[in-house]
Amino acid sequence: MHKSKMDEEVVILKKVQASHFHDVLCLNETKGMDRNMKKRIAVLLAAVMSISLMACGGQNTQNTQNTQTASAAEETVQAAESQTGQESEPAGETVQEEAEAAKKDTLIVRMAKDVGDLNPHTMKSQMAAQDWVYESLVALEKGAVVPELAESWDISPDGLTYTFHLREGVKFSDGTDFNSAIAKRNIEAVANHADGYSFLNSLASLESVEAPDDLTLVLKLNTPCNSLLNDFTFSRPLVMLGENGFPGEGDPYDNGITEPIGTGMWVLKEYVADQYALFERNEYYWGEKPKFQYMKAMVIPDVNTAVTALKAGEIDVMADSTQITADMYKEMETAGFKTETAPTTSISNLNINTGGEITGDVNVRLALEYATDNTAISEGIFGGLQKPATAYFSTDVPYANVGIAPYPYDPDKANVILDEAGWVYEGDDQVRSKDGKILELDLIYDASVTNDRDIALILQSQYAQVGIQLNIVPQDSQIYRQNWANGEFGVLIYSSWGGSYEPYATLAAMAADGDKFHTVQKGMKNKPELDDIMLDCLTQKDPEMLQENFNYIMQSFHDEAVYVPLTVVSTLAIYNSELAGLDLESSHGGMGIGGMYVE
Amino acid sequence: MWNNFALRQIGRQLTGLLVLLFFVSVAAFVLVRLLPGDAATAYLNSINAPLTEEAIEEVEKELGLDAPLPVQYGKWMIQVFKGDLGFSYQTGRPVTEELSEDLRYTGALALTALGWVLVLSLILGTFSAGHSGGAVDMMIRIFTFLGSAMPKFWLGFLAVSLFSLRWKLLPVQGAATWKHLILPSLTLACSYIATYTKLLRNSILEVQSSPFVLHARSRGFSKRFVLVRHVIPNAMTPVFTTLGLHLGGILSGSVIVENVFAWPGLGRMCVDAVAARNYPMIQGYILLLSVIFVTANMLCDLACAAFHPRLRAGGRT
Repeated sequence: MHKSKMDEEVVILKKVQASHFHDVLCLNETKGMDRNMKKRIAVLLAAVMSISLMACGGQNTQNTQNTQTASAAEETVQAAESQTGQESEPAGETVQEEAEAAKKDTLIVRMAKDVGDLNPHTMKSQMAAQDWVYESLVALEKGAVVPELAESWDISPDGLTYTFHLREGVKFSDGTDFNSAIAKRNIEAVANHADGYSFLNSLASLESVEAPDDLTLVLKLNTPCNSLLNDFTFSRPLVMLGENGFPGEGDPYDNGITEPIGTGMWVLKEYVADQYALFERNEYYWGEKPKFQYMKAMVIPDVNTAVTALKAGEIDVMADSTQITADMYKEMETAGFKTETAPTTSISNLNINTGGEITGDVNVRLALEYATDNTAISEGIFGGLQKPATAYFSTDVPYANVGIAPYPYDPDKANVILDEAGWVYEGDDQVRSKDGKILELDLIYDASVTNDRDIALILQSQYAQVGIQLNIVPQDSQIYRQNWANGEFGVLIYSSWGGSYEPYATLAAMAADGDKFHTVQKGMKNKPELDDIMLDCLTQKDPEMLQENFNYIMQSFHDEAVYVPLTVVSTLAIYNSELAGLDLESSHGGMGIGGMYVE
Repeated sequence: MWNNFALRQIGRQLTGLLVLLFFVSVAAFVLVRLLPGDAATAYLNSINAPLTEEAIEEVEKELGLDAPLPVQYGKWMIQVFKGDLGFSYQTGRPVTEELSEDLRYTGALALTALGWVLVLSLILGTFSAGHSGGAVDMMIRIFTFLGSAMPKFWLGFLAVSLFSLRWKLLPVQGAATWKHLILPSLTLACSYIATYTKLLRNSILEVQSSPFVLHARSRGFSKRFVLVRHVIPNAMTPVFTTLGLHLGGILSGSVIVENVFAWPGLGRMCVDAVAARNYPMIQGYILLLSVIFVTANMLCDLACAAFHPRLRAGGRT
């Protein structure tokens, strides 16, 4: 058996040897094919790699200024970006060098979204970026209107004539003069498309714009309009574009702009969509010029990535009021980065649906007020960085700080109110009910907002203490707003608009039937009267009457328990420890980075 | 033979593509409009304008959404045939321009990832099969489990904290140079490398046990020669077939990687467009991806044929 197998193998071996010559030929042939096959694989891989590199390499750079005037400094920046292919250098050094070379004269700022086309009269660009390039007659500081391109202004006693005295010697970034004629052209271009900006109440009452002399601009209205100055503090559209930025005889709303020419601190120099925008200091700027010659706005959508980029030295500063969490802030502080925080005029509120089936009962709403401990939210979620709020509007909003004390946190009181209103515990139930109806509410929130989920969880546990069951329902931004407008919710979390919207644009929305702000208040017993008073606020020229109106509005919100004020939204900033001069409360130039310098 | 096959195949697929695109265009058009919330309201919400009926009508008129749906579709189709996909509601730029810019970046990312997948899974799979049951095989198999189980965003942050923060070798984010491509493409490729390593390992083992391999070995060909010449090409067939299906997934699934690495690609754009109910962008994106998906499948069929002579002759596997 064993032997025969051996024999077999020998036979095979012999056969193999016999056909060796044939095999060699065969082998050569197949080796040739093998080479072909290898070549095919190689070509396939090479094609894949080279296509991908080609696609990556060719950048779509749009120089907005004359490309030939690239200064040495700009080359440094670009060199820092492109000089990565040098193989002789260890890669690690190159990356660090990149960051350092760029740091010398360029401040790198994180943007969550692309800056946009920087058209000053449309709503498609990022507001901070529009603030970098463009300015208006006036600006907003802590809720109050302050001078910008107008040094002062007079309002006629009848409230129908606004006379602006323009700042002297202001030039656009292309060297042309800013004067009343170009201001008139800008305002008229915007007013011609009043329908496109329905949040600006003044456009409807604007009758004429006059420029009696270079530095005087007169706006005539057909009805008084209290929001006019506020309307001029928005980042867009009532800002000033230089003559050469206009598309010939056309206007920016319909025809776009030829170049983003403004009077602001920065001039757009280079733009790569969805990646970065490079700005240069505006040498014609009328105020204190930025210390950095360049400022690069890097588009980094994910906030965690931005924090890592800051750690790696790829960006210098990040600031925002919605994405940076208290944890990130504290972690970076511990890691040696500088931090800063400033309250905004936006307030995070719990909106209660006054027209809801259960929340239509004012006692339920009052119970929610007493059952909410916003200090726990301020401490637990925001680490104290966002302070507890006291009313729907920020205390900095003109007329709105009427001194009504908010409901204190008092769960016992909430229990008493609910008991008296007939919402009682049946048997061993953890949740109250009345006439067989369980006391449960849907809390909807916009799932894209960073902290709302955590706020919802805290509220859920607080309301459980008084026998109210809160169902947390995260929703897509648009669905959330649709349900809100249709009144399909119990309670919802939303931050008031703040900034230039307060108080007039907000009041206009609250009084507009069909708007989501209106829906929340629909079940208030004095809603028709409240609407009249809100609309009166927009035109009331007697300050005392105006104050009375606001007293009435705020008292109604309080008595009817429409809003539970949660926290004061704050801007949080984290930046490189070598830098100084960040001013988050500055009214000029967007994000308050204009005065930043290397220490 | 090869040319005939290729032409026939391409011709058939192209006709299929046109029919498919028609259905896709109808579906895309209808589906985006079935999303709760509409473009006009989304725009007004984004600028905090009061949501009155007049305001909504005004915006609808401006966006051309006031016409009856079939008219809107007809207008869009005429545009599409002229190579114009309309304008993005969010930026005002032509959709074709935005899509082609984003596609270049996502394409670079996906193709590089594909390169990694082909090269690394080939190496790892062959190695794993060659040392089947050994320690190396064990390690590679552990990698394949981990690789396919790890969430991409976590893997991305892990890679960044090692390669960018600790060793300072590669940049954290951005898309300025080829270096920016390495971490995102590897992160994107990782789970696919794991899948294909496993697939290839099993496929190689299977092919190795087939009679023709034994025959080749018995003719005295070296193990390595048989592996390279006979086993791998045969083992690649399932890889190419699945790759055709996965390429679409790699392209459309890059959104997480694009976010983590601030890579300006299609996925990021699409998520933004959906959030803003930017109809022209979403429709354009769906059309584009269908074209890519079908083309990728076609290319993979051709690649299969290139590695598999029997297919070239029109036979069946």
